[in-house]
Amino acid sequence: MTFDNSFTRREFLKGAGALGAVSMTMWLGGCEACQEQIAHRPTRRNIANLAANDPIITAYQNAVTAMKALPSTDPRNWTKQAQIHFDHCPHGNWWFLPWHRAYLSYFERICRKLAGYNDFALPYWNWTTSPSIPAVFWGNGNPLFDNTRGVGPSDQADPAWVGTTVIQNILSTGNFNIFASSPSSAPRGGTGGGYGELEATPHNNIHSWIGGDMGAFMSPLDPVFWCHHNVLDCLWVEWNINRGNPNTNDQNWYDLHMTEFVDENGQPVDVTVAATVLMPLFSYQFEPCGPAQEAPKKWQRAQLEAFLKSGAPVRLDVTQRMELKRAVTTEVGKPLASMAQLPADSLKTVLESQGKTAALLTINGAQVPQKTDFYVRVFTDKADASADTPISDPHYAGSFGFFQDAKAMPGMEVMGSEAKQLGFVVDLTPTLKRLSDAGGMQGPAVNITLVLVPYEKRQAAGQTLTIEKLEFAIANVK
Amino acid sequence: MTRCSVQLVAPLIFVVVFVCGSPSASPLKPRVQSETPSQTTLTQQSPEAVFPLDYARIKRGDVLLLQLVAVDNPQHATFTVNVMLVPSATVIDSSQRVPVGSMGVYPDQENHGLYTFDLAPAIRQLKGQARDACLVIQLKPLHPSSGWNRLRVTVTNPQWKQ
Repeated sequence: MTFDNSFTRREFLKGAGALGAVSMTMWLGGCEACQEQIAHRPTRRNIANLAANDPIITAYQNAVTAMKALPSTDPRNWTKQAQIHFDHCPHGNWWFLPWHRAYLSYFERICRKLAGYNDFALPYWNWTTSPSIPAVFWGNGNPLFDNTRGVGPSDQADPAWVGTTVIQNILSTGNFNIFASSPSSAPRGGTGGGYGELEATPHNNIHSWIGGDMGAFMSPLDPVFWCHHNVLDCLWVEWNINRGNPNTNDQNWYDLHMTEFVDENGQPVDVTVAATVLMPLFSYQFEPCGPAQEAPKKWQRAQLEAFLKSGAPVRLDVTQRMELKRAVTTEVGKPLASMAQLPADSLKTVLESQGKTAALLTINGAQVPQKTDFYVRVFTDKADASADTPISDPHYAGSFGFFQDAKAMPGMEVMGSEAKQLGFVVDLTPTLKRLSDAGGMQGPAVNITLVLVPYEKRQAAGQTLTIEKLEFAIANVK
Repeated sequence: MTRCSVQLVAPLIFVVVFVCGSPSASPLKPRVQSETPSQTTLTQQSPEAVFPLDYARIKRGDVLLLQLVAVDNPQHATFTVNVMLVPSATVIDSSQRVPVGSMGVYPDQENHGLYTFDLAPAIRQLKGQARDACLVIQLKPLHPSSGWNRLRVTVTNPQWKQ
């Protein structure tokens, strides 16, 4: 999955009407491909709940072994991964949490691939309930063992910094900067900054208490590092999503691009803080880690919208808009075709901008009927697109649905049954570029087809979707 | 309830001998200090300091700032500075201390830094005793068996930010 915030929440609100929760998936590069991943996203489990021979532990051991065996020229090599931390990790400022979230996410993907275990999810070490380093990290010959540690298997972390009371108090602040560390002008060496409670208390002390590799910036050499940071990520989820505390809405925080990570194939990635705030909704989930094991906050749709608006990335300047359709109704089995006649230079700009200019389809005021047994696929320059056209077709641009399956997003409850108006955005840029590169673009005109696709084993015949306005937009991405 | 009190014993540093409420008090007696934005040095011999708190500032949600300004650590001891509340200056029972957080140091034990704390969650746990609450900062080695008798950690006295 590619994390790409090429369109943003303000654009949804400005250009596409009310926000639908599913629209967020569009940030991630196409709803449909993500739906399955979201619904079945892996669960990061408490390592205390895993037996020593659990497949997750075995996969972690195998992944570490494989990474250590990679040549030092491979960026997935164990030491090279630690070097990323040494060279780039922000500490004592507000990028501490999102940077480590992204770091862990890509590490997890590397582990998954190298271990050959697709269900792998990085387990976490909950030092509040298990204050000793877990048994799976000990034993000579065990790839999860690090012989530089300054503590032993029976030593326990001090409740003053990992105990239930102090963690509960840390989770009880509503102030992002106190929880997650303070604003700084740069990830390293900037002005400002300051340790928040989560970083200063359990994070720093666990590192220093374990010592050895863990006590320095090459700490990822110790496999326990990843599970230590994983519970910090879990506590951020607990604070932010389960307890409903908003992250900062400062654009300087969201805009940070992190280009130091590599994916499971060793390819460099460019991920923003804006993308990291959504990772727990789309890429993974946690077994509960909060000290009170509290039930997650139940979100109403309106609440979720307001909450995400308060902390959403917002940097998209629409430079051109073209209305394609107004007050149009389409039906299952009857694709809706439209055409955007672009100035020749507009398309050229999009295709040559290297991601700095995007071509977007905005669907404004989609009147969602109470019964929606379908979702919508979007194709470009595919006049004969139908529900049978696969998403592997090069003309496929994305899709959107209406997200009324609460199981797909635990903690979010869709309330009310009256018809709602939603807005969606589909980024057409990658598809246009792909078609252009393959010589498949017919000219400056772009044909767009919306296809209502019934969900498997659902009766959707006759169901309709009414759209207030369909627009094609060119936007500068910042 | 005894409010934290102060006494001038040196220029710019307000210190009184802590009046322990129990004859079985720890020999490591904490000191009571004012909110004057000066500094306090914690050592093995003097590992704790107690500060009065402005309850009105806590109530209005002000943020507590503490800064680690100097570390003299020739033995390279690993340490932290725990931050806690006590219901009053006379309470020495450690079970009545409410942990707020700590000033952990990573990766370098000579690291300096600014630390922010929200006292409100801990204050709520003191319930009716909150008005007389005092702040305790406590130097603590992470590995007590290692030498730390030459460790000197200097922290600014509590400051507030709205």
